[in-house]
Amino acid sequence: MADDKDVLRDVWFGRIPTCFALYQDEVTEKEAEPFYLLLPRVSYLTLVTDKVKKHFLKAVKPEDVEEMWFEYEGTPLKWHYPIGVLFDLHASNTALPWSITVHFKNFPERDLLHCLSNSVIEAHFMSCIKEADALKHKSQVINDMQKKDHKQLWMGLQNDKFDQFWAMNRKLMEYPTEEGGFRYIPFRIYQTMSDRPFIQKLFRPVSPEGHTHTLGDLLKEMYPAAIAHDGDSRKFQVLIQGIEPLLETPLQWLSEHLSHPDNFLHVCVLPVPTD
Amino acid sequence: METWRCHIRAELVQRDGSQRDPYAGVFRSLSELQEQFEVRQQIWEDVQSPRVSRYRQEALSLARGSNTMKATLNQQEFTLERQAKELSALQKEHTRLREGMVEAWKEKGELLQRWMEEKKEEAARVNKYNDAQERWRRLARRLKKQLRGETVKSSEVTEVNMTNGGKEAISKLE
Repeated sequence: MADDKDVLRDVWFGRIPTCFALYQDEVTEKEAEPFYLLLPRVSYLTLVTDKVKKHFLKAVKPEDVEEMWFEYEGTPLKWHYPIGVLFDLHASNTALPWSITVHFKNFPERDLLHCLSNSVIEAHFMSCIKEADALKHKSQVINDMQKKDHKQLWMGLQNDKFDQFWAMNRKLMEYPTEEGGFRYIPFRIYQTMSDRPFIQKLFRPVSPEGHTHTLGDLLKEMYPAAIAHDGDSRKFQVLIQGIEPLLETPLQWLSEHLSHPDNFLHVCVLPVPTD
Repeated sequence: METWRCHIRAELVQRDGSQRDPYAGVFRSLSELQEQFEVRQQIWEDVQSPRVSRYRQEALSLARGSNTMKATLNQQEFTLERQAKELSALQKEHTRLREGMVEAWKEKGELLQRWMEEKKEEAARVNKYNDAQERWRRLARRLKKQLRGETVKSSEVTEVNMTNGGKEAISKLE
């Protein structure tokens, strides 16, 4: 159960200053001014960019408008990853605001999922929550919830209502005291140097011997290179919610406090900047 | 408090201190200004809308007037062309009549000439006749005078002879 509520608040209200600009080749009607927005780290790009779409549609010929998609320095941004993960993975070591390019043409079918309405995001979000609870509680908690409870989780995220979301999400964070944590920790490890989308395996919060597993234990098991040292310096930085937790941080606590609303702990591993 | 927990709290504060907080104020102000701008733009567009509507009506009215004038102009051009053709035909007719008239005048002159000559000849004949009549009257008067002078002397026989002689003389004159 979450006991550091201020940490939960900090995680929920994390924001990334972003500058959206229309792709130059798609400016046809008139020059489009950039659009500035503070993006919630825990939300999804297509859920919070209605204003961006409205702003840029004025500058594009109606016949040229297809599904809106985003790109950062040539990389299409996957809307089904939380915004904070996209930023940490692709732009955490660049100057702010984050410069995202907006497209209305040439949708990259091979890289992105289509997202024609919020119901698609809702379906993805609920699917992730159910998957996470399957790992944590064998789906017992999510299955005991009613349809309106599921809706409350989604509406809390959609409307950026911390209390509404956590009133229901706290049930998903409960576990039997004697077991010391969830059955398995729902996590995903993203890496910029690999073609694999992410690493996701079964990992318990407590060892068979009863030791509390830490972030270091997880990485040692799943991605040893992430904690390897090159002499005195580290080769990779490990970001969760835009920060670098100490490797001795208990994994169960991280799962309860630094997970995204989809109940997964998203861990980004990227090379330490050379400059 | 455990080190790792303090570290996370400090990192979160630092994260927001570098990412969110420096931009939150200006982004909020920008967003408010954007909204105000959009509201004003909407009001401006609403104000412009009746004007545009009025200008469109005027343009429509002017276009209709222009079309009417074009139609009238076409009609006038058609009338002008028709009248030009009629004028051309009338001018030809006029020329033809003028030529006829010249011919008629010429014929009239000739006829007049002929009539004058005819009258002249007639006058000559009348004069000749009158001369003959005059001579005849003078002869008649002389014969009458001669007759009266001889009445006294002659008898009835003479009177008969005188009558026959007179008839012969008259028939000669005639």
